[in-house]
Amino acid sequence: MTVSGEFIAFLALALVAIIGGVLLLNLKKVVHMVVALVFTFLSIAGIYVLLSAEFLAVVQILVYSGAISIIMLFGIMLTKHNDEDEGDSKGGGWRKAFLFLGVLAFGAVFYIGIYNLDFGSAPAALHENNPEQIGIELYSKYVIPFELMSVLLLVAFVGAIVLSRNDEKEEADKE
Amino acid sequence: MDLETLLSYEWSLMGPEFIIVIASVILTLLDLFLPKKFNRRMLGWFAFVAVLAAIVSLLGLLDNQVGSILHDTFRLDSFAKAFKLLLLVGSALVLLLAIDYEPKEGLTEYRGEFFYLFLTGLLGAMIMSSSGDLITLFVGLELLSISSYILAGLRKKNLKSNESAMKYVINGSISTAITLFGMSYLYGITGSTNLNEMSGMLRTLTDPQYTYLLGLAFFMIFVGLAFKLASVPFHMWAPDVYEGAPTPVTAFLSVVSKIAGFVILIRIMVSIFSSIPVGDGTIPMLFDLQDFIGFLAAVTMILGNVVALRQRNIKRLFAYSSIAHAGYILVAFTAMSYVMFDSIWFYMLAYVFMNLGAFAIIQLITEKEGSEDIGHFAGLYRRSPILAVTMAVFILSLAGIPGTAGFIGKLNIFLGALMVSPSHYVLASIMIATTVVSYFYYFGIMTQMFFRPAAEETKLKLPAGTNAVIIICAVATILLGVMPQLAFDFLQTNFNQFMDFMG
Amino acid sequence: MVQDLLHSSPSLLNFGIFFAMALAFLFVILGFVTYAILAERKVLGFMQGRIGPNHLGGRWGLLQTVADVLKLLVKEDLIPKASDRPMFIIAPVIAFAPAFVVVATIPFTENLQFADLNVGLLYYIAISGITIIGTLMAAWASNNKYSLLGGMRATAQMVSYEIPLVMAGLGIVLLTGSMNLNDIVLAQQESGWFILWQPVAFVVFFIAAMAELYRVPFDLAEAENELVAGFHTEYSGFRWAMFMLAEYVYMFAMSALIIVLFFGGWLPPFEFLSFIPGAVWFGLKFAVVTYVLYWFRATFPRMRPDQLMEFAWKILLPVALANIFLTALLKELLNIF
Repeated sequence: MTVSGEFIAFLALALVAIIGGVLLLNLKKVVHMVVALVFTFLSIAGIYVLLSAEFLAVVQILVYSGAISIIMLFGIMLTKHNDEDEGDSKGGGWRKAFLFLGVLAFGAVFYIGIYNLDFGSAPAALHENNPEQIGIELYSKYVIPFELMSVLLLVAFVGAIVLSRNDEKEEADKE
Repeated sequence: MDLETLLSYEWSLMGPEFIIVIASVILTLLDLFLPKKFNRRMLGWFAFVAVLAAIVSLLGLLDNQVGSILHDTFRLDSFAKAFKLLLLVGSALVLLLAIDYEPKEGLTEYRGEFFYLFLTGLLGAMIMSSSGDLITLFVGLELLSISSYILAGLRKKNLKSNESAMKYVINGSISTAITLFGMSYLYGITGSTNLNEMSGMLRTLTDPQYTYLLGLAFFMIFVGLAFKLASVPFHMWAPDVYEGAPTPVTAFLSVVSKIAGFVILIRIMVSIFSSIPVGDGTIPMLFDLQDFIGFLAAVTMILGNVVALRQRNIKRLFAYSSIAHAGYILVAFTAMSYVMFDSIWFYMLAYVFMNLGAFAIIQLITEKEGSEDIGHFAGLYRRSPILAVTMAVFILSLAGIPGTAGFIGKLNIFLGALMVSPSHYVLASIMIATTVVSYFYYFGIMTQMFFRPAAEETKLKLPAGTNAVIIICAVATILLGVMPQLAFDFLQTNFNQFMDFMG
Repeated sequence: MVQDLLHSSPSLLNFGIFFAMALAFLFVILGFVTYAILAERKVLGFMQGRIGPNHLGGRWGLLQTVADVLKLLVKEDLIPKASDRPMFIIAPVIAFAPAFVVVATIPFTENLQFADLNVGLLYYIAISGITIIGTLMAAWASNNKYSLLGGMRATAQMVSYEIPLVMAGLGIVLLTGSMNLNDIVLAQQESGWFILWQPVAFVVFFIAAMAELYRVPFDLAEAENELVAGFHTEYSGFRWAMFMLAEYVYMFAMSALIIVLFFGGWLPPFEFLSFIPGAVWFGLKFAVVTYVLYWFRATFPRMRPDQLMEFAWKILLPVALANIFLTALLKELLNIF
């Protein structure tokens, strides 16, 4: 494997992504966890750029680090947030060991699968106007799932309102 | 692509789906603009009519040849038609139950939302049954899942309901992530999301490295989809969610959502993994991994039936019972006999009627008593003989006693497991053993109903919708038990052995 | 240029070249910020009938900002005891870094551009969104209710105004069929500046851009008289300087973006003036746009928070959507583009 700038960039991004993920699990304060998550999101966006999927990278930043993590932060800051993760008191050690072994096995299984996998030569013209191509596919071949997504978003929207609306006030008014 | 090519597709094939979408949009608008005092129950009737219209429209499409729109992103083959019919019939019955549902807390102000979220969930299930493209299948899966997450949490003032919605969301998202991860490997190896193209490409694969990865993909997809089936390893949500969710939602989850889960499982597994050659290239991967599916089926059956023995809460009991039924259907899927489609379809048909009938009665009683303890069934025979007898019919059918639809369904699966070679003797015997175990808890309910004294003697009032559900389900359960050929003839004449599933 | 970096072999020399270029660019921007602040003070002084800085560095006060920055740098580094220490330290960095990163994609002249991205416009908006997280972190880490209020306001405002901003930009994307900022400039060569074709989009974009920059009349996030400077109340010294710097760099970037989108970038207004180099044209336009920003600051009152949100969602967004619709119609019916 030749060491190129791309490879170094990939290593750095992958490292940040993984460290972010690990920190997310290990940090004690919720706000810190979200910040760790933001780093993971950003470095994944960076990996998309390396894969010549700029559009996807930008959308990843817009949606994940722009919208989702902001909403999480808002949610945490506006609710009761002083709880700290107390950690498992009993049997924590064994459980952690098992979990770690499980993760390790999972990683190993996939590593065996991917290592030495030959996908043939990579296509050359990946950069060319990928937003345009995504748009064309979306509005021609994948119209049905695309339109279904709009129903899905509507459902999520209605659901969010229904589940989070505060009914207490209305009832107080009635009485 | 311009408008003309877009319009040149046979959009009439999507008639039932369009009816459901339009109905749910109209319901949304009606719910928004109708005055507060207006009884939202009328919206339920509207939804019911829409589902009936969709059934009619689907029946009108039965004679059509296989049709597909836009590279199989929508595909109407006989498999899709047959199972969509089940989904629609099940939903219509659940809607009748929902219209009569009068919970103690919450849901009164969200009745309108309930009906259109229900319809969108149904839409997701229908899409899952009729698509030949991973993307559409996945979007359908998500549409069904998200709608049902919200439905499960609609009783906002009830802690159990909140808990159930939360558990459902978390478990659901984990399982979805696993499924999607598996699908990503399929896409990575084939470079396509179209099931037909993928299977064509996979037939020529020989590299063992690819086969290994595809095997991983198989496990991930199967495990992920197990969530929708409520089978092992993703079964633990079922009891909590069934208990906490409003009863009609529980009925929806245990029938419609489960059928949809099986539909997508069969669609993906059979069309992709049966075309991957393994080893010397004579056996497809799906057959090679039968032991794995069989193992999960066995564990599901054992776990569902054994844990159900200890339940005092009727909804939890039915949750475990539904886990067990998923196990039975998985036996048919494991065996892969040539009657697999027929036997699964028939079993589900029977399951729709017997389970929904039982849920109708459960809803009636739990609502009356305000608690879900089995003890409330005590003396049901004294209070309302007809209810007790119909409930007995449903329970006998669930237990698989001859003369009921459940028996024929089980018999089919049992024979299917034995008719293939090598026969699945172990699986078949586990199935019989667990069925016997299930008698204990099913007959426990029967003893309560017939032999225990009633706590109170008040008569039960039957709302019209529930009444209709109970009558339809009871008649269908017995009719299919006595004359199963009715259903099989229907299958033979209309669906032609599901020959057009592939290609 | 980024492509070259990624595909070249990673020798120290290459790295050095790119690093030096980035560093030079950083200093150019710092120079801009220095004099932008001075210019702002001068313009404000002029509009308020004052003189403005006039002591340090000759009559024009040319070294005033430099002195201010020096003062900030040598100030004691204060971190409040009750603050969330790691977040308090990292927040200014997260707020500042994207400000510098967005500038990379803006074409100043035909040749002077760091990254020629296909998704330039979206890139700008996405990256600038990261700053919000820095702001929110700073607000949170300060452990001060005014800071938190300011941070919440800032975030809500940024998120809300990002939408009309993108929607207004979409009108231009429709006309050019590209999100590449270079293509957008070149498209204006034939059809004339887009402010002529997209006046509504310009107004919406400009207003939303002001809100994104937290400039008057949208400076609720740091409203001095009610929130004691908002999210950076607890910050001082060079950490505070980083927030300030981020703000001014964004002003630089946003002005440049407005020029690229609506005023033809480096293109001269008339063909016969093309003997003057593009860089000069860009600089001239730039001076005008930033002057307008200062002018607004001197003459507008601040909005109320509740009006702020309503304005974004109920006025700007529908207008921007209508503009997209109109543009699509125009493009389909007139076939000019």
